[in-house]
Amino acid sequence: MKKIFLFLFIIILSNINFSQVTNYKVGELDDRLNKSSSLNPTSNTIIDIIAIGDTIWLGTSRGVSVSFDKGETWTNFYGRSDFGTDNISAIGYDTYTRTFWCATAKSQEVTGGQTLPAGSGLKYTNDFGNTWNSIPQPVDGQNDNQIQYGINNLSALPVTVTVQNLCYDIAFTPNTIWIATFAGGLRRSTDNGQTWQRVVLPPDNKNSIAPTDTLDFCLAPVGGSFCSVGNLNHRVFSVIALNDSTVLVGTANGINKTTNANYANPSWVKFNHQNQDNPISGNFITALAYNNTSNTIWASTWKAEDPNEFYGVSFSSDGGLNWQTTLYDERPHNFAFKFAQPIVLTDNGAFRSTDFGQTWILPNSIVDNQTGAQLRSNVFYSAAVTGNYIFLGSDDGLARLKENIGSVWEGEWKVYLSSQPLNSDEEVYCYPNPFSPRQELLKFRYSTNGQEEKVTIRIYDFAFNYVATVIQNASRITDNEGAPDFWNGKDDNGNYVPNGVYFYRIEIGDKDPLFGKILVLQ
Amino acid sequence: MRNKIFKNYPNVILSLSKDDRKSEVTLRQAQCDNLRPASTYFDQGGQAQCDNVILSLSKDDRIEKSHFDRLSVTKVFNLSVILFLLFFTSILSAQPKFSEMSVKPGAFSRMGFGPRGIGMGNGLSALTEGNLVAYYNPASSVFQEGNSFQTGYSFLSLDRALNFLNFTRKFEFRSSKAENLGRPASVAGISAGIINSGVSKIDGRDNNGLKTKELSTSENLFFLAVANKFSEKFALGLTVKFYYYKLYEDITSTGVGFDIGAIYKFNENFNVSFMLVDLNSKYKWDTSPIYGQQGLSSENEFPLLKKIGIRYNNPQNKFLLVAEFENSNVGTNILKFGGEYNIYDGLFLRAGVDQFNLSNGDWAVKPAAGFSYLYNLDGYLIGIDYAFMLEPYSSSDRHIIGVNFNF
Repeated sequence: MKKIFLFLFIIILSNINFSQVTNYKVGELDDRLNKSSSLNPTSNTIIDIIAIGDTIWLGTSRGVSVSFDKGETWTNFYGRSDFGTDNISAIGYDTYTRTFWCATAKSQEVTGGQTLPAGSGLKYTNDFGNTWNSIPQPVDGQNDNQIQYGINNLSALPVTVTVQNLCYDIAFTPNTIWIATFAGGLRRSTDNGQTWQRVVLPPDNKNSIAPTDTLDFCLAPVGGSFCSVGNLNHRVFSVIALNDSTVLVGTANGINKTTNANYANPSWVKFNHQNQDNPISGNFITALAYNNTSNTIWASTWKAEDPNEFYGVSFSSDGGLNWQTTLYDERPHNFAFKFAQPIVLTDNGAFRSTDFGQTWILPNSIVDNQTGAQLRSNVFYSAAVTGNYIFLGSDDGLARLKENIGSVWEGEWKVYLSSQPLNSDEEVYCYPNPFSPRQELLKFRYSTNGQEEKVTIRIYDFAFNYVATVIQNASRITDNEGAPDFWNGKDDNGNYVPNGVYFYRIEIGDKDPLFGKILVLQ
Repeated sequence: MRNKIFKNYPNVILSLSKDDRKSEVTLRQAQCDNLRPASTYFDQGGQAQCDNVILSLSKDDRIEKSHFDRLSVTKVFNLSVILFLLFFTSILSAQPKFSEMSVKPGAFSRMGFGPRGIGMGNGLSALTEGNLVAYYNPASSVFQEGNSFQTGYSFLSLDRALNFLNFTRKFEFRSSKAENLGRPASVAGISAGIINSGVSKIDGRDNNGLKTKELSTSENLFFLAVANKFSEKFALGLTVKFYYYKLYEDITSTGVGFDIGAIYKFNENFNVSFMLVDLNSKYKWDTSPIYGQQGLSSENEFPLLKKIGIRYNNPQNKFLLVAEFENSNVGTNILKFGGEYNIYDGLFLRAGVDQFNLSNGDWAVKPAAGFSYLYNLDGYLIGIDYAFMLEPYSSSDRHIIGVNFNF
C-alpha cells in the first residue's frame, strides 16, 4: 500500500534515464517486457514489497523486481513499451489466482505548467514475469454521469482523464481486483481488468450507506458545475481485503468497511475522527494493513482538515469499532508484521513494537555483513516479512535482515544498492548529484579492479582547499559493480557544507588520483 | 595626457645639478615616449617617474646608485622561484588539516584577480603602481595612471572557470589655486570589474546512479569602487560588491557586500594599507522550488577578512615588493607576499606566495610566478600577462593569461 505524498514526490522528482545491464527478451510478443538478472534491484527507491515464501516482489521507481531466492538474485522488469520510464505506483498479489499485479503512473504537465501524476495503467503476470498483460488506466466515458446504487440512481462525475487518476493500492477478493485510484475513486473488476465498476462510497456527510437506503448525493471527488459538492471520501488512497468478503477502503475522510464486498452494491460503514468515541487520529488514510496473527487493523492516519486531528498510527482489535493511537506525529508510509509485531515505515525509520504499540524499536544500524555497504537513509517506504527474513525498502536502497531467533533487529544484514556499472577501472562517479546531505548520502563508485588496495577519498572546495576526508587509507576490494563509499555531506568539523560545487579526489593505491564534482544542494 | 606626469620631477632628481636635471629629463621624456611603463612609480609627493633605464648615467654611476645589478637581481629572482617551487612541492604530500575557511562561500572571490596579482601572491593591497584594480584595494584607484583596462582568463582543472574584467581610472579636480601650484585640488578614482566563475560538465546522476544530465554552475562578482585621495599620503576607498550565484535550475542567490580600503604612503618607497573585505556578504538559499516541503532556507555568510599590507618600491632598481597579512573571522591568519621586477624594457617578472596560513601548517600554500610584456602601439600600451600558480591536490595547476590596455 502506498500513500499519495510519497508517490507524488517520487513521480515528480525522479528523472529516470533508461539504462540496463545485459538483458534479453522473453519471447517475441509486444506485451512482454525486457528483463535482466542482477545481484541488485534496478532502483534504490522501493515503493512496496510483497513476500510470498522465497519469492520477493518489489515495486520500485524503475519497474518491478522479483527474486525467487529470498533476495540472492533479482530479475528486473523495466523498459520497452510496456513500462517505458513509468513509475510503479502500486503492486499486489492475488493469492487466489497466484497473479502478480502492478500499477504504473507518470508525470504529466497540465495547464498552468503544473506537473501532476497520471495513471498509465496496470499490468499483471501469472507466470512469474515471463509474460505480462497490460491494461489501460480505467477512465469514464463522457456520458457516465449516472450510477445505480441499490434503489438509487446517483449522479456521478465522470472521471475522463488519467491525471490524478492513478492506482495507489490494490486488493483482492475471490475473482475480483479492487483498486484505489484517488480521483478515480474505488473501482473493481471481475474480468482481470477488462471492465471496471465504480464502487459507491458514503459521502462526507454520511457515516454509512446501504443499497436499501434512500440517498441523494453525487459521486464526485471534487465539486464543480456538475456536482456542487465534492467528497473527500471519494478520494481513495488505500484498500485491503481482510477476507473473502470484508474490504477496508482508506480515503481522505476516513476508513470505509464493507462485509459484503462480493455483492453488486456493497454497503459501507465509515470510521473517522469525528464519528467515534475512540477514533482514528486523522482522516487521511494513506495506508491500511491487517495483522492476521493478532486480528488487528492498522491504519496510517494522517491529519486531514479538522484541526483536532493529528498524524499517527491507529489500530483496532475489534474490526474498527474502537481505535488506539500510537506513534504521534509520525507520518507512516506502510506496514508489515512479523507475527504479532507491527513494523511501521516512516520518514524517521522502521519502527517495530513488541508490546502492541506501547514502545517502538528502531534498527541500530544497517550494515551489510559481507560488503560493509550501509543503508543510511531513515526514509522507509515499505517492508515485508517471510520466515525470519525481513525486507526493508527505503528511498535509498533495499535491506534484508536474516533475523536471529527471538531477537529484534539483530541478525545478518544484506544491503542492496543499485548503481550503474563502471565502464572501466579508470571511471569514477558519485550519486545522487545534486546531493542533499540532510536527506541522503553521497555514494562514490570506483574500482580497485578486484584487488585489495588502500583507498583515500577527500573533498575540496572550488579553490581546492581541503574540506573533508571520506576514507583514508582504507582497505578496499571492489570492481565495476562493487559497493560504494559514502559521504554524509559534512566537513571535518561535523557541519553540513553550504550549497555549492565541491570536488572529490580518490587515491587508489599508487595509481594517479581520480577526480569528480559534487553539486551540494541542501 | 601622458606628458602630464612629467610636469613635476621626482624628488630624487632635485639633488642633481640643473644641467644634469635637464639632460636627464630630456632622456627620460624620450624614453617614456617610446615606452609607457607598466609600473609608473610615484614619489612621496605623488609625482610619477618613468621607470625606463636611465641611459644618461654612466655605467659606473649606475653601479654606484644601485645596490645590485640586473644580473644579480635576475639570479635572485630565479633562485627564489626555484626555491619556492621545490620547497612547497615537497610538502604537498602532508596530511591536510581542516580549516573552516574552506567551507565558507565565495571561494572563487578569494583566488585573486588577474595574472599580475596572482603572479605576485595576491598580496597587493598596498600597491599603487601599474595597472590597479579595486579587488585588491578600492583606495588604489586614485593612483591609476591613464585608463587601465584589464582582462584575464584562467586555465583551471576540472572544468572550472575563472575570468576577470576590470576598468580603473582616476579623476583629477583642479581649482585655480591648485592649478597655480601645478597639482590637482583633489583626486578621485573609480574601479569597476567582474569576476566570473563556474563549474561545467558536472555529472548529474539520480539516486540509482543513472546519468540524468550535465550540470553547470555560474558564480559571479560584480564590483564598483570609488576612492578619494585625502592628501598626498592618504587615500580611502569603498567597494560595493554584488554576488550572483546560479547553482541549479531555478536555484539562485544574490548578495551585496562591501570592502573598505585605505592606503597610506610613508615615503617614496613604503606604502601601508588596511582592508576590510566582504562586510555583509552572504548567500541566501531557498530550495523549496526543487524539494518542495523538504526544501531548506539557509544563509551562508562570507568570511570577514581584515588585511594589513605593505609595499616597498625601489624605482632605481626597478623592482617592488608587496606583503600582506590577512586575518579572518574563521580562524585563518594568512601571509601573502611577492614581488615584481622590470628586467627589461617592457618585460616584468613576478613571483609570490599566496595562502601561507600561520594558523594551519597543512593549509595548501600556493606559490606563483608570472610575467608581463608591454608594447607601445601608437601611444596605447598593450600588455600581455601570464601567471602560474601551484594548486596542491588538484589534477593540474593554475594558468592565468591576460591582456591589459592603458590609454
